[in-house]
Formats: sequence, structure tokens, C-alpha cells
Amino acid sequence: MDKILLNSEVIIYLLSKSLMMLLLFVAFLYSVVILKDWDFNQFTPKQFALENRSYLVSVIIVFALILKSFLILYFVHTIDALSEFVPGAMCAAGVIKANIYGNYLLVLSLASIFLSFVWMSINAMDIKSLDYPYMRLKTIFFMILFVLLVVEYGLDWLYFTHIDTQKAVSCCSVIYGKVGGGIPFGLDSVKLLVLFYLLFVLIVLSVWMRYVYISAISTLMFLVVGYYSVVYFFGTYIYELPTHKCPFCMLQHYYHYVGYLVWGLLFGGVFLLLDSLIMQIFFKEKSIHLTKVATVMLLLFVALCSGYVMVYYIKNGVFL
Amino acid sequence: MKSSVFLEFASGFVLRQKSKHLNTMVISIVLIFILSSVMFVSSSIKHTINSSLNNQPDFVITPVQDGINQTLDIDMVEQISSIRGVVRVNARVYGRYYFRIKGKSFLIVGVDFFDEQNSKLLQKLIGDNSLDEFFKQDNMIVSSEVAKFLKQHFFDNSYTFKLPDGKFKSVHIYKTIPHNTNLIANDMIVMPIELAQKILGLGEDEVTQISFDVPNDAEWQNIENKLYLKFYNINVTNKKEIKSYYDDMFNYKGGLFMVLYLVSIVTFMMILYQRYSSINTNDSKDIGILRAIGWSIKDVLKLKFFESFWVVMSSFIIGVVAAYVYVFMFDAPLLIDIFIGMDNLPLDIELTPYIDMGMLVSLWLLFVVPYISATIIPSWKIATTSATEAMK
Amino acid sequence: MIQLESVYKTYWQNKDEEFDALSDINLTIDEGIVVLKGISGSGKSTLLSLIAGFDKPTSGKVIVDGMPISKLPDLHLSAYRANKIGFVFQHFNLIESLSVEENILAPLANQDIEISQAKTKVQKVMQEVGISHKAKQNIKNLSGGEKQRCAIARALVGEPSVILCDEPTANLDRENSLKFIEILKTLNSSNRTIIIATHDPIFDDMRLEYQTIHIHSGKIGS
Repeated sequence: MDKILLNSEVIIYLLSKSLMMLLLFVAFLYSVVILKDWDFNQFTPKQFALENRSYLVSVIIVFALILKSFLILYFVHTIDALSEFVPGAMCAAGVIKANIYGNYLLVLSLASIFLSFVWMSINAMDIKSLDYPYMRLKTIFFMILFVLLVVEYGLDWLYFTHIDTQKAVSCCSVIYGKVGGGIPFGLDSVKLLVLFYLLFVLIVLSVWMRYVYISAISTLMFLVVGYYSVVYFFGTYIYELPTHKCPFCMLQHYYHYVGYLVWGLLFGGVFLLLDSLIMQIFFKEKSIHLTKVATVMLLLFVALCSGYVMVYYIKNGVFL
Repeated sequence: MKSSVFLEFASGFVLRQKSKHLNTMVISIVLIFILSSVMFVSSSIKHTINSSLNNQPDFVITPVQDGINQTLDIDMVEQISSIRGVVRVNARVYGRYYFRIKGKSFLIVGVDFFDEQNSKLLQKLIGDNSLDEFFKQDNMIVSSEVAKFLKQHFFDNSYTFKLPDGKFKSVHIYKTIPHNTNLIANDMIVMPIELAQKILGLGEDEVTQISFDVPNDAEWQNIENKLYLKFYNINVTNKKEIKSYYDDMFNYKGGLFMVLYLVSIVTFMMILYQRYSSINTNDSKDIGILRAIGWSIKDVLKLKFFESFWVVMSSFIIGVVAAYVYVFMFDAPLLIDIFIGMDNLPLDIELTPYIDMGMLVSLWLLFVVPYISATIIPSWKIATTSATEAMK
Repeated sequence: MIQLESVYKTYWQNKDEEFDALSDINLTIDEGIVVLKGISGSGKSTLLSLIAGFDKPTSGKVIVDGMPISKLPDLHLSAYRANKIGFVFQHFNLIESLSVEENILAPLANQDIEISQAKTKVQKVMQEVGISHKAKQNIKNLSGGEKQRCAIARALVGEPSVILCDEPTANLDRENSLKFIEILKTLNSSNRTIIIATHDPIFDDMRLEYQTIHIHSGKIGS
């Protein structure tokens, strides 16, 4: 355990997270007061002070969101670096499975980033209106989000303190290969690919034609299909090896860190698109700019993945 | 671009108030400089050691240092080769030859050049010239430092060794190799194994070290056990152990530095918080004025963030560049002594520039996050001061 | 048009000591020049602060061009100040470390305009008040009259429909005070309201068409 905790990247990660949690805790305390005493129609200095405090809460959350988005990439980089110390691990895939907390931590991290994006959209809407109509809603939302973040923080510590450097773990070929994982729902690569491109086209069309519910469902499906497509198909073209199936190896420098781009575009695009759709469905807010950015990100993602396949085919004349 | 009006104004605002930030910047630069230097030295040494380790064989067997057995029997080579899974078994002779008693010494490395692997090594060392030339007479290959030393003592093309039995042996310098090519160490002389044995007073069947590779990782433990069962007076070291040893050492030293850094960054954060909070009347007044002429809280926060960002990035860049120059151009005087005061490190290690993105990102995070964290609340306080209060 | 309805502004010195800066103000101000007359401490500055949106009334409404500004959230209130109001302060309140040009640019920094447009506006107002030749000069190096002109230019750059001046001639000599009044005359137009809070008698002498409002101990009337 000492080897892990004394590792500089782990120290930096935990330090950053701790500072972030400290600030979020301050924001939480202020939120409690806001929830208790907020009354926009009052003209008291207390109410004006609350309005000012709500700005602090939003600044802290913006800081936390930006930092978290950064830290999740850094987290993956850190566990990749830890693969040296964990026997059997060749990349982050093995290290994540070093204990039961790893996967939950990753999923919760992603979920909280998404929820933070949604919070920020609501906040942007709220401060633009004349009477802060969503103050209570967003305050309660933040408080729930804070609880999730506390759980996540706890998982961070549990995860890093329970990595056993004496116990061997499986490497990605076992986890994601024929033995361990596999494409679910009985799909094969071809069907998966068809689904992948079809969903993408559906997303673009439904966004363009403003069919919000269809957009939302297809985006969610695309997240799942996209993940499996990258791991079981596109990844093999990045590694140029049909048996190498792993979501983490592509983050290493051998592959020019392209993994960060691939996953960043997929998750970023999906999160932003879902965020704008939520705004449209629940708050009747158009979010055109957000939708555009998200669609471009997904477009780049699809282009990047397809690009690797194209380039391989052009170079070698065959597919894998 | 619309935000460029803001940038234009903000740049002017920040740049004209350089002196306000001078204190903060100086402390920041010093902190980053120290931190970066430590990281650069540490990772450079680690990288050099790892690289050279990669070129080393997986296993090295040495005799147990008990005063009696200082050598291994060359017969062991065949016995070890017969173990399944072992390849490229290689015997070498190492020894120190003292030019003067208690004075300058050279490390003599005797290699069996008729071995396939080693003949490749020899070719590498002597370049294009044919191997036959080398074997025509007693030849040796020396490092440039050795050559220089010998020349100073009037030995230009060859050197006459004094053998333990009192006789003399003249050996011709075949080639000189600069030591920074990673092929030869500073005080090394490479020669055929038989020659080395003569000069060091060893018998034909005595060697100092036997090394070999085991391609299959899973077999390592197994083979080590077999070796200990077969032979009594040996010490078996494997590459992973060495790597692990150095990793631990760096982690530990790294961890120590981290703790020191954490203490200083916490202090720094407190200073920052204080500094940003203390109602600097001019700053507060300026912000009050901006608020009065139509800047919202959001706008002021943007300005404050821009200010912090500018300070942070400038300090970071200056600190890192200064550290780079200090470590890789001046070989980190003073700091390197802290690292070198360790066992088993080559004393004259040269710091080769090695930085990767991950390190820079880590450095950046390690500094920027505490800085911004410490200044968020004070910045907000200033942004929300009432305009009229501030202007009084 | 500016309307104040039953406006009160109370300050609390300590927990129990109340101080009414303004009591029951009911006022309608149309376009044109208005001089707010009263001695020091009568509440002139407070009244201007409320109209400018620096402060919120303890009770009552402030309505400017049909928009009640007293309850606006910060984002909107700041936009109101930036777009509608031009304020000339008694002590100029310029940012000392910046140049004339930069000070005048400040109100435009967060507006939705291109940089070239912003610079054109800055040039224009500098010419109007006659301070173009000092554009790059640092504020510290200007005379009182020049600082005044810079302050006026800054107040005008956003093309506001309401210009508020708090004791504009208090820190000027007679020559510069007269210059100020000349500038005022050029600013007077049909769709602009100019309110000057002053107790400087120089305004009585000038041939200037204006409405007078007297304020005394926080109440309107003599």
C-alpha cells in the first residue's frame, strides 16, 4: 500500500481531490443557508448577501467541474503509471480491477461529471432570468450531487489504499478477450458496427429536426454501443492487432495518447448532448450552441475511429 | 472576436499592476523551481538507470563475498546452460586494476569475444573494422577518460600492466570510446577474457560473474530456486529486483520530497489566502469602480481569474524553464548530491534530458490547483463588495 | 423617464441606530437637465446611487424607462448600469494604474461588440470631450480638469440615456467648471436625462435650461 500512496501521481490526485472537496464542502454549507432563507421578494441586506453567496457556490462548482474533468483523465493516467507496481497489469485495465472499488469509482466519476454539466446549464439559465426561478431546484440538486461526490471521494481513498502490490491481476487480454468479456446481447462485430453508424446518423437527424426524445434515447444507446465498438473493433485498428481489445492501452504514449481524444470526444459529446436535451425537455431552453458543440464532438469521434480503420486499409490493403 | 474587448482590457489591467503580484510570483517561481528540479533530476536518473537496466541480462550470478570464494568456476556456465528456459549464458571477469596503490584505478572487464552475443558487442565497440585485426595481438578498448589519463602518464598507444606475479604485460590500445555513448563507463577497459584473467591474477577457469536471460517471466522464480539448489556459494540477483529497489528508492525519496512540498504548499496557500483577502484598498477600489460602471459579479470574477491565470502560467513557465536549465545544462549542483548520496549509483552520472507530458501535467496540477483553490474565496469576496462601499 | 415611488433608504449604523437617508421619495423626472440641489448630507448622492442601481432601496420602487430596477438580479442590474447609465463621480473614480484610453474602454469590456467597434466609440467620445491628445497617458499624470473630461468620456462611451453627475465641479477650478458646463450643453438632447447633484452656485449663473429639485434631510422640497 505504501508503494501506491507514496507514488507522486497518486499524491497529486488525492491532494487535488481533497482541496476540491474542501471547497465543495464550503459551497454545501452556504447552500444549506440559501435553501433555508432564500426569499427573492425580500429587500433585506440578508437576502442580498444570499444572492452574493449563490455566486460563490456557482464559482466553486464551476471550478470543481473543470477540475474533475481534468482529474478523471489524470486518474486514468495515474493508474496506468501504477501498472508497473501491480503484478500482471500491463495497463490501467488490470489496475482498475485490483479491487472492487475501481470500477464503481470510474462509473461514479463519469456520472458526477455529467450531473455537474447539467447543474451548470441550469445555473446559466437561472442567473439570466429576472427572479432566479430555479434557485431552490439547483440548490437541492447540488446538495444531492455533493453527497455523490463525498461517496466518490471515499471510494478514491478506499481504492488507492486497497491496491495489493503482491496480488496478481489479470491483464486486458483476459478481461476483454474471449475468456473474460465479449460483446453483449449476442452481437458480433458487423452488427455492432452497423448499429454504431446507424445510431450516429439517427442522432444527427433527430437533433437537426429537433426530435428531442428520439435524440435522447439514441444518444444513450450510442454511448453504450460506442464504448463496445471502440473496445472490440476500433481499438484493434489503433493497436493494429485483432486480438488486442482494451479501452485503456490506447491512453499510453505508444499510441500517441489517442485514447484521451477518443474517450474525451465520446463522453464529452454524449454528456453535452444529453445535457442540452435535458434543458430542452425539462426547461424548454433551446441550448443551440451546446447542441452544436456536442454534435461536432461526436462527429469528430466517429471520424477519428473510422479514420484508423481507413488508414489501416489503405496501408495494408486488407482489414484486420 | 467579442471577447477580445475583455481580453484587451484585462491584459492592460493585469500588466500594469505587475508589482502587485511580484511577491506572489517570486514565491511561486521558487516553489515551482525546486519542485521541477527535484522531479527532473529524479526522473532523469530513473530513466537512465532503467534504460541501462534494459540492456542488462535478466540474471546475474556472483560469488558469495565470504573472503574465500571470490570467483566462480567457469564450469558453471555449462551447468547453467543446461537448465531449461535459460539462454545466452555469459561469463565475465571484472576487477579493479590499480595504477598506483591507493590511487587511480581502472575497471577491467574481460569478455569472451568468441561468444556470439559478445562478438556482436565487440563489433559495436570497434565499429566497422574487422574482428581479425583485433585478435592479431593483445588489444584492449578503453574509454576516453582512461585514454586521457594514460596519455598524461606518457602511455600513448599502449599500456604495460604489472601482473600479480611480478611480470609485465603490454597491451595495445585498439580504440578509444567516449563514455557518454552508454557503451562503456568512465573508467572502463574492455579486453578479451583470457587477458583479463592474466592481468587480474585469475586462473583460466575462474570468472567473477555469470549472467543469463530467461525470456519467460513466469519461470524466473523457478529457475532461481533451481540455481540455489544446485550451487551453494552464489548470489543470484535478477533485473526486476534491481529495478524494484531503485523504484522503491525513488518513490521513497520522491515521497519525502512530496511531503516537504505539501507542507510548503499549505503554507503558501495560507499566505495567498491572506494576501488576497487583506482588503488591498486599491484593488478593492478599482473593482468597486468597475462594478459601478456596469461590470457584473460574473465579469469581475472573470477578470480575477484572468489575473490569477496570468500569474500562475508565468510563474510556472519561468519556474520550469529555470529548473530545466539548472538541471540539464548545469547538472543540478547541490541538488544532485542529495540524490547521489545513495548506494549503488554510478558516481558520475550525467543527467540526460528526459521529460514526459505526464510529468509536466503533474507539476502543473500540483501547483495550479492549490493556487486557484486558495484564491477562489478571496476573489469572490472582492467581486461582491458593494460598489459604493469600495469607492468611499 | 425616471420614476421613484415611495422610496425609502435606511442605513443601520449599529443594530439599533437607524438613519433614514431618504424618506418617502416620490418623483418623476423627464428628459432634459435636472439639477438636484441640497446641502451636504441631504441625500443627493444616495438618490443618485439608487437611480444608478449601485444600491437598492429599503422599500419602494425605482422605475427607469418603464423598467423597475430595484429588484433586478445582479446580471441584469449590471447590464442596466452599463447600457443605460453614465455616471460622473465627484472624485472621478478613475483607475489610476490605467491610461485614459483604457479607462474609457472599461465599460465596453463585457458588451456584445467587436473590438474595432469598441475602439471607434472610444475615439469618438475622446474627441467630443477634447482629450484625444492624452489617450495613452496614465491617469496619474493628468490635471483635475483632464481627469474630469476622462470621467465624462467614460460615462458617455456606452451611449447612455441617463447621465448622472455627483458634485461634478466640486474638485475643479472656475475655468474647468465652465468648460464642464459647455460640455453639458452639447450633451443636452431630447432623448436624454441628465441629473446633476450639486450645491455649486455656478449653475445658477449659466444660461442653461434645467429643472430644479430641492432635497433636504432625505425629503424632496425646500
